[in-house]
Amino acid sequence: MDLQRLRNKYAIAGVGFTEQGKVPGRTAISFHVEACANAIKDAGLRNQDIDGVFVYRHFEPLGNDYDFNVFNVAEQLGIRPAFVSQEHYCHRTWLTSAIGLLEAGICNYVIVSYGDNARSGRRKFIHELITETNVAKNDGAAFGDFSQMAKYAMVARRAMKEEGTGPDVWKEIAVAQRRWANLTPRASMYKKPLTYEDYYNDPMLIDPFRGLDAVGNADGGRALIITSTERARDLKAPLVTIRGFAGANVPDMAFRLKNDDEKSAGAVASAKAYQMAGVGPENIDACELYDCFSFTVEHTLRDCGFFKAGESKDWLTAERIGPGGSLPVNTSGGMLSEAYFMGMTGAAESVMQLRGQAGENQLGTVPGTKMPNLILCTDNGAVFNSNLTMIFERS
Amino acid sequence: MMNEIKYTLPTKIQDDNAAFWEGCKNQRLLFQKCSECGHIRYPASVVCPECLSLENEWVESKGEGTVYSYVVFRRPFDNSTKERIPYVVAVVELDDGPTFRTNIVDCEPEQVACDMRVSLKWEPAVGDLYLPMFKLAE
Ligand SMILES: [Zn+2]
Repeated sequence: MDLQRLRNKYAIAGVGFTEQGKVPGRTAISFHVEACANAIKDAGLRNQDIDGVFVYRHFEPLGNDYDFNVFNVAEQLGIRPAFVSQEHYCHRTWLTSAIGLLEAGICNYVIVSYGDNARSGRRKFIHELITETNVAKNDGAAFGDFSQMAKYAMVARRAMKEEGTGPDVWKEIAVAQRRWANLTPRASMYKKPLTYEDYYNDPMLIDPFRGLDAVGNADGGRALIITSTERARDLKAPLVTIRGFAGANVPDMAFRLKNDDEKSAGAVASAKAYQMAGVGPENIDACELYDCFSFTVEHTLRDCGFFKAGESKDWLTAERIGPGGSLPVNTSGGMLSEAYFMGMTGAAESVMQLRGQAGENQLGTVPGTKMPNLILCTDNGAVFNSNLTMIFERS
Repeated sequence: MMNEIKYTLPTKIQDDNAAFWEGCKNQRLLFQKCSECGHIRYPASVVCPECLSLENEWVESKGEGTVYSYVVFRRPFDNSTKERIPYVVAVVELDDGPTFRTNIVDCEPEQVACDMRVSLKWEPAVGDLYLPMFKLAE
């Protein structure tokens, strides 16, 4: 379906941050409601204005936390929304759903919220396959096939064969994003430089991936408010519109997934998003990409048309995507070096950059950079199974 | 040491794939073949993803194929795999059937590469179960 009629019709009206990094003594829900409260204040709205609530992918509670649901979040925010949703799996459809609700007139202000106490609660990587009581969730455990890391590494190994990529390329991503984090005081890796030597010295966990290829855990939350551009114009935050967006889902189980740049969720979604926005990769000023692993950034840049399969070895350098480079990528450090708030990390950073409110890492302020007009942002779920591509524009 | 049990993690079996794991007890690698269109599927399902037929029969794979991709676990993510480190988890494209997630055994991880030919090797696991693993072809 042609979605060009929705170009710039919707906007991000509010962004909410919390204390983040290592913040002990906090429940997961406390980060959700703090982020939501701050997003509502940032937009200059009243809590009762929020009539749609998405609680982002929800994990099992840690430590002494009670489990919570979207009603608990809404109750603590003092609202009675027309629509609520809480995601228990990694599909990335929040923006698609939110715009559907807004376009149909069911909601006027939709809030999307992420929160977790994953760092203080020591959330485990293995979570995806084994329960806390060491019972397998499916039959993959029979083969010792634990964690999403192994699934992404499986695609990465095939890409090494087909496209000549590997750790030599991924170190560029890890180092570039660390350079951005070193400009971002809220980042977990602020003031913690990373060299190529550090990267190579880091042992392999699931070969070909090292620990430094993977996200760490963070405590904290992040929330966004989506509304019509018409409504957002009357609110207090500088206007950032959604020029294009699209979602795609390729539900194949990880072991059936191919390293394929035509049928992948990222390639399908980004092509549609570009079409809706009426732009191409050459028009994009910066990217805020989902980076659960360093390789995810490479795979996504390829899928979004910044280079062709086989070109990453030459194209993907820390000089190009780091501070001062021609295509800034993950300007807060991304999930790898800022904080793991899933798609909210990059979406919030996109909006703050386009508002000119990013802080020390603001594009246009960092030497060798310019103020962006268009930022391409991706959210990615499961193992390249779900992709949401967003093209945000500064008004 | 032929009967040493290295694979101790209990395998979770549900109704849809019970026939697959029953086959493993008898060292037979079984997949569902659609009775209408002939498509061989894995994972198990009551429905054929090609034609949506509900009719199928379980057929035995010859157990020969090619490594599509693989990873090497250098750190144990679970106590049950501590003794096996390093071990290879691979995706094998079977000649006569679907893509299958398995282990490559009886070799050093460094010997494994994408597109290598592999063949089925049954490994004893917990209880009366055998696991369908693969070794590099001669
Ligand atoms: Zn069929």
